[in-house]
Amino acid sequence: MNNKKKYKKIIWLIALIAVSSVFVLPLLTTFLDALKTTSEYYLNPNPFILSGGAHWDNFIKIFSEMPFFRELGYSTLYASLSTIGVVLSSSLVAYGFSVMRWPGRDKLFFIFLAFSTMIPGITLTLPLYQIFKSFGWLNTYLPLIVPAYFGGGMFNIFIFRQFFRQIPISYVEAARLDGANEFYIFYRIMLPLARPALAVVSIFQFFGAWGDYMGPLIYITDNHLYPLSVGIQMFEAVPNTSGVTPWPYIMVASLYMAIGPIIVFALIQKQIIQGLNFQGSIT
Amino acid sequence: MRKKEFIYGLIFISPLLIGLVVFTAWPLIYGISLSFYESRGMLPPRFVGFQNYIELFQRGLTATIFYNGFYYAILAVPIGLALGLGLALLLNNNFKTSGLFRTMIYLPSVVPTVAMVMVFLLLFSPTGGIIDIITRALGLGSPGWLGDPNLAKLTYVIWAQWGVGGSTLIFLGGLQNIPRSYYEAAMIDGAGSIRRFFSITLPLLTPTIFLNFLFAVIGGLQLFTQAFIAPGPANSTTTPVVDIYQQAFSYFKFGFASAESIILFLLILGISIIIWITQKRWVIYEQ
Repeated sequence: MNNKKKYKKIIWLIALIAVSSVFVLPLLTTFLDALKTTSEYYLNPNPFILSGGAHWDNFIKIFSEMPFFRELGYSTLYASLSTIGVVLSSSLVAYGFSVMRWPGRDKLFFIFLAFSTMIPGITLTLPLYQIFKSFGWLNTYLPLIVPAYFGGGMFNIFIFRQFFRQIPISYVEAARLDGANEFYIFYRIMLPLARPALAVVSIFQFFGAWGDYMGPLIYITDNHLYPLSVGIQMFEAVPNTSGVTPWPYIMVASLYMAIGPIIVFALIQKQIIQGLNFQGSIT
Repeated sequence: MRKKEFIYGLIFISPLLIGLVVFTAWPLIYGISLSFYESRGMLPPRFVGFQNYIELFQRGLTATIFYNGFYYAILAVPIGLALGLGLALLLNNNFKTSGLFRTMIYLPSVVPTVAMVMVFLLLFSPTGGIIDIITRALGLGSPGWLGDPNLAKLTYVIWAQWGVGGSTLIFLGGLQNIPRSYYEAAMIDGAGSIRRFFSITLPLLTPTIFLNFLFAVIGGLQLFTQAFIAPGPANSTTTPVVDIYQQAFSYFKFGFASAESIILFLLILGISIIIWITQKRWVIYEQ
């Protein structure tokens, strides 16, 4: 019996090592490609052959090779300002959909949730482009940030709502008896208790905006205002002065873009497993 | 108190109500009306009735574009769910190393799409990419991947599996919710591991599978970034959203693009409703 268990574990181990190396391989080759010079890359594109040694200075040179700092700044600005809006407004709305009791509440919530997931982004983006154009908001980040303050997305509201529902209503009732008003209860009692939901929603929103490609592509037309996502792609699409695409630098930029989410999500995996649990949630 | 709660409820959800009116309902109605107009550059748009829709359905390319969208969704979604579930089953144990493997499988799914596309463009490059080196070493020749109109869509399907760790994580959450006692009872009754999977695990995971499936289909039909940045030859990879974008922002045919976006909306709405109705036949909710 014990021997059989041992064999099982060894087979399991081999299977997982094989599978996870497939998942890690692209990151490894990206890293190796990032260490080459552009001419070395074109001489031998095999990532495992570093003919000229490792050019670690690529990770610094990128800042002068492409407008990296500026694009990083715009990505951070867009991600932070939209995250603040999403967290503030989705938690507020979720309170109205969970702690407050009113007729038709849950029905209305699911109608909104179902409807908002079924409308394709592009169907709203085309008319919104015209609307924001008439506001004079094109070529600014306003179209990408302002809507975040009005509802913050049904899915984020859903996550907060699930969390608020688990908090005993007696906390709220006790506070009411002490004369606290609803905003005080929301801000000082419920929100601090919903810290895991707060973390999950803000991290997802931050990195969602961080990686957003289509939004900035549509609303930002001046290339001096591009965030990193559009900037990297333009770097690839428009070859440099010598007429070639500087792949090693693009790999460096991609690594810089990916490292933030990789570190943060590695740290919060367990919370995601608990926080994003759909089982029996449609009730 | 009831009345007070109702008023407070309204106050709390008011940002959403304003948002839904200004950023959803108004654009949706405006978009529908745009689809009945012809954009004429500097001139004011002209009302053309159903002309844009007729043009859309008469255009030969339309079928190809929607076929491309469905091809991706129909292949990528089930493969992704099966892989995600398989990996979750492999990781669902108390071994110490599981955490490390879970991290390695999960992390690619958080890499921003643009960065992912850049990485895979090199990886799948027919001239010296690592995949090319591997296929040649295995005697499979040198597939053209994105350069081959027959393989280009399939290439996106393969790329998408790199991000399967997200659904693996959600399935792991679902698996951990199944009470251990169910398995113990089944084992006492002599059920083997395959029987336990089909009689306990799979039925109890159906709500998770259902929601994952629904979101993945809706998302899959809206594929944009890869098909826009790294297109295949001719129109072999043009998806509905890519075409809508190009009609609107490259050819400035806003009315036509709006009509196409309304058709995409109706399609997604219809498919979602079908998936929602059929769930009653296969999704099991624990009471």
